Amino acid sequence: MSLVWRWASLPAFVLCLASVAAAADGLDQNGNPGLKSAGPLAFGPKGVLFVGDPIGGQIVAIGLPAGESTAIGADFKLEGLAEKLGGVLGIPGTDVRINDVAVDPASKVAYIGCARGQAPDAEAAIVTVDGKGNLKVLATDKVQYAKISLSNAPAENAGGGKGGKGGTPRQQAITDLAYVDGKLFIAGLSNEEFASKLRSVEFPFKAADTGASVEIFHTAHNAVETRSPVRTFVPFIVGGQPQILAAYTCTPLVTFPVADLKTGTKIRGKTVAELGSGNQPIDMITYEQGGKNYLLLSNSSRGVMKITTQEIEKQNLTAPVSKTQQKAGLTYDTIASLEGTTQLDKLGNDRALCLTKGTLQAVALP
Amino acid sequence: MPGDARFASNAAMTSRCLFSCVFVLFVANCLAAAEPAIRVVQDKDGKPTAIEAVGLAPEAIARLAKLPADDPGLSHILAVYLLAGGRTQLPEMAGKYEVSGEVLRFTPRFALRPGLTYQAHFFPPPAGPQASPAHYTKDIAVPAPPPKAPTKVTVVYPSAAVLPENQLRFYLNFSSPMRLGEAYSHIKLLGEDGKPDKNAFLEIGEELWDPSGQRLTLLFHPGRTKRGLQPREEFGPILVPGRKYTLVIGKEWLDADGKPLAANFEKKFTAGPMVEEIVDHKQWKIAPPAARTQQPLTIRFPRPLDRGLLQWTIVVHDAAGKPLEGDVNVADEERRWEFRPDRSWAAGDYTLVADTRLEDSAGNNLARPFEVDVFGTAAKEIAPEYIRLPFKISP
Repeated sequence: MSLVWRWASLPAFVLCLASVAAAADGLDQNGNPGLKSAGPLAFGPKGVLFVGDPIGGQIVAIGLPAGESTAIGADFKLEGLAEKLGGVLGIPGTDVRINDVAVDPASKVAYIGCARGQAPDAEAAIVTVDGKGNLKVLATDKVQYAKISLSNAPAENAGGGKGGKGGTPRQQAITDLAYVDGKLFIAGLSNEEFASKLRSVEFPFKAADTGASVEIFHTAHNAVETRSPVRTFVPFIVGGQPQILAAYTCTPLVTFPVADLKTGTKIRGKTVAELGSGNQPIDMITYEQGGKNYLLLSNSSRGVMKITTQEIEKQNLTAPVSKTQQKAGLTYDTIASLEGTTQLDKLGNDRALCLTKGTLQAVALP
Repeated sequence: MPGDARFASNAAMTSRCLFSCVFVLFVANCLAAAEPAIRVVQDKDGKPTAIEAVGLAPEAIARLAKLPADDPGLSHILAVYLLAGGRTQLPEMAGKYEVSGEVLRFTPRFALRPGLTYQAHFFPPPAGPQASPAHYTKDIAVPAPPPKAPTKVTVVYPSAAVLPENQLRFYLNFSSPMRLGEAYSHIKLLGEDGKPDKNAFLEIGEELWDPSGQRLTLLFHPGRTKRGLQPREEFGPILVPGRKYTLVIGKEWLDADGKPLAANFEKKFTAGPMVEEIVDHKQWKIAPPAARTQQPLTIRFPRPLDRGLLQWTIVVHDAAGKPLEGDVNVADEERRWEFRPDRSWAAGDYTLVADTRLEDSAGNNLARPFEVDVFGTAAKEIAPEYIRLPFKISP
């Protein structure tokens, strides 16, 4: 090869490498992903944040800016989070909708998915909180990103049944998101049919790949089967197999193997606990302590529950639950000091970052 | 003094006067330009879009122009806060700083909201070590939008006055967008004794609105409507056949503008027997319209179906399999579905294509009942996605 040719081809080669690198981390677009809402958040491979955007009907993977940041420490405490969010967003604290709090395991900076107001067209905002308590709005006008759509429009809607002005009123609430081993899991709940879809999509997203979508069912004591929306879930290893531990809206806590999530299959979760009524699980994390695995679950009325998972493999609730039985299956402790916790995520291996009665603080995993 | 000399002397005095005036004006102008102040930039509709700090010394401007856009030093010079309860709400608003000519401009990341007041603070860098620090503030009140008629509940589905005891879902419709996040504190189910059932509804943080914020899907707690689950064991079923109930929507519920509803809304109903069968399309009565008209095609159902799903789950296909464009209307307490095409009907063969996700309001759909006895044969059938019902329009 002549010297000239070698040098001329070098820039092309470098460009090629760069584009391969960009595509390799899965973020193949540049610009503004057009987030209409910042719903559940989940961290993917290093530097990638998944944002559930139910109003926009999409999941967006955003490349996070590199740079220095102060990690949230073990004694972190920030009072009046909503009011401080309101300050940076320019609205009263009572108008801020906090949708999710997630901690970047790499930088230990908290990311808060929120809405700038309580109106349906409120702007989406992702605000970071660092170890110094500094709040910063994540700029999304020029980022590396990728996205998949969660189509709300029914397949054969072209034609009859126009949805009226402004399009279809159908919307999927994205109730939870989790990334495990190259796959993004998305739990959704329709505002129309009573269906429960759990979708798993490979990341990097492939064009025209809608992933596996399964319908989740619950069987009450082996006799009566119903569709069951998943409220929140966490990937977990049980018996060496990746599993999903999921909380249904109708309250049972169930497990099912990740390997079962193939399009066209019906998933019948194995009931491992009955959490009781008035209990809407909000967030779930798993952690290890003293060689044992635990689950920490924040819910709407019973504070934060610590559940042992040693016995998960052995649980299979099929007997009817009696009136006097408040809880059945896995045993759990209620951590009273964390009552009023609405958001929860892991902070390192021995702490959780909790949003409890308006205060964002690091607490030791109980 | 001779005439010419007097003239020359007067002219010299006039020009000296003129020169002094111009000089004084020039100095005054210089002094006026040097006075720091806060200026609000507005768009053509008078909405504030940016805030500028003017009157900075040229050296200060030159120094600021060299700073990176996110340098914290910039917000120490100019910052904008929401004014809430008479005090600034910390921290300062997020936005972009730039040096534009001789001003430092701050453009808030999000538009200043109508009806609120903000406060800009400007701390120009002191001229020298002996100079005392200065501080300027300016209140920016953004006019509130014009008041409009109070929002009201327009309709609640299902419309019927008798609802099955295993009723699953309601749709609440409002005349304007509603404030999110407080739905469940304003909805009550009262029994015959007037007491509310505190565990009747599925309360989820996301709430289940449509994108316009005018339709809320309200679910009874499935843990109590489904059999065999702990909530039902603990609290019993939500509805008991034969008893009367009132669904109350409280007027304290704020709309998206922060105003309460015009009035309370009540839906009174009686609980009827459980509806546990699959939605059976074989019992539908299809009434084809006349050819060369735009009369509606009508389907009558033996029992009410879900209002939201009826809007799109049934589509009319022509003989070539192409869906027809038109408008859907639902009437008779959701027992009648009508389709009026955009173009006149031609005589010939048509197919009604029904998505099996179409449910009644107890969650039974075209493919399976809500609760399936797993020992029965129904559970073993593979549910089709669509049901096709052919019909003819005679010439």
